Amino acid sequence: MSDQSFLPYTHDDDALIAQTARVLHDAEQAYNYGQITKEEFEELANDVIQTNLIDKITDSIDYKHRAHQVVQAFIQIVQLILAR
Amino acid sequence: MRLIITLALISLLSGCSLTPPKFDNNEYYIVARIDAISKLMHDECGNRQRVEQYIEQLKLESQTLSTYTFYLPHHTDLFEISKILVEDVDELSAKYQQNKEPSLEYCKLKTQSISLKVRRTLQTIGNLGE
Repeated sequence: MSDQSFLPYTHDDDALIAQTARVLHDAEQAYNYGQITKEEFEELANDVIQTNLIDKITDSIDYKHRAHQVVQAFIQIVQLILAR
Repeated sequence: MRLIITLALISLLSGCSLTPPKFDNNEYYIVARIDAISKLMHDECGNRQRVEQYIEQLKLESQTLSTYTFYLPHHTDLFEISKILVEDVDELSAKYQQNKEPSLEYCKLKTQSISLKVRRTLQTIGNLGE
């Protein structure tokens, strides 16, 4: 979202949130129309929480990767300065 | 000069604590297979026999991912994701093993949900290759 400009990565949190919300909305509709059981609906609703959890985990990996790249770049600069 | 060396040491130490998992071709491939299988299953939700075959494949792939990431250093986060996927597939499998007839909509929404999780994971693993 707001970190989108900082991260050069090809992921879009807004799109994931929208798609997840759509799945939940479709599940609600299906339940209201009797197309799925209550148990099935609850399972699908729980999936939304799990998707958010995966999003948090992947965000954490993205940040670690980005921080690692920055540190590596900094070390290279220091090495260049020391080599002079 | 002393300042530069101190800064370099601090950076090295902080860098160690932030070590991300390395890009792994096999890992990416397994996750991509899970996505492909869930997409194919989504299109054939009406065919119970095919669905059961796809569930078996999903079980194998998600379990493979779990075992694979468990023994790789710095892959704890991806192991956590694999546990969620294994749980998802187990839930799906249980629905079809209880001799019940899960609804078509449930099958479609469940496979969509798996795909969402898997695609987000693919993006992150892919970014590690940069």
